[in-house]
Amino acid sequence: MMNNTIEIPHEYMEPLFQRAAETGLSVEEIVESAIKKLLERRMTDNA
Amino acid sequence: MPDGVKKGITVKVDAALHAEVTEYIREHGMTMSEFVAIALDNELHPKYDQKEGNNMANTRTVAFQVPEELFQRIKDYLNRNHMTQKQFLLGLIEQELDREQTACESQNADFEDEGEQDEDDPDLDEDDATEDFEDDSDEDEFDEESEDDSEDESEDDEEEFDPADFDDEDLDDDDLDEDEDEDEGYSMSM
Repeated sequence: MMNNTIEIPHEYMEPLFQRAAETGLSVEEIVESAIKKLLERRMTDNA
Repeated sequence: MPDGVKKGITVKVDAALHAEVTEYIREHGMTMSEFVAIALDNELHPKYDQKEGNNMANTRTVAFQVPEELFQRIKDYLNRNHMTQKQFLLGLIEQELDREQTACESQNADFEDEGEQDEDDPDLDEDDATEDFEDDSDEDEFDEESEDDSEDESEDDEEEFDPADFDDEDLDDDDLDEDEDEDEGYSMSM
């Protein structure tokens, strides 16, 4: 079975939940968005 | 669970995205924790990281030492506000630079406004010119008086010179000749 989980360090928990409360997004959506943005930026920088 | 031990949370992400991240960190020699920390820093404190991303090709290093007490206060602040040291210091620096730039621009704008007002009022300019002229004339008078005084003083020195000093045994002939030459030169210039 594929393990698709990502561990979030404890210091990011509070700001993540705060952002989720502010935006109405789930923590998963925020984390996915953050990961996609970073990957896209790194791809752009390397291009 | 023992006191002081903190656990993070795990979130499920799309399998394709997870695979992409795994591939990326393997290629770049990173750990998943490092990658997630960077991604979340960018997401939660985007202001400076986005600017940094645009300017990464041309960066310089700023480094300095601080007292231990101040360092600990900084660390406590960063923990309380979930910020990195870099984000904190960049924020302070940019805040001050922006403030100072705004102050300079508003000062320059005030100066230009005053300049435009002077141009609109020709009477004011004439007054200024008159004052300048008067100032110059005063200076000239002062200079002439100064020159006169210096000449007077030099003449006084000549008159007070005691020829008996030439009898001094320590005075050699060369010194005497020079003094005599100077006397002649001064007389000729009169």
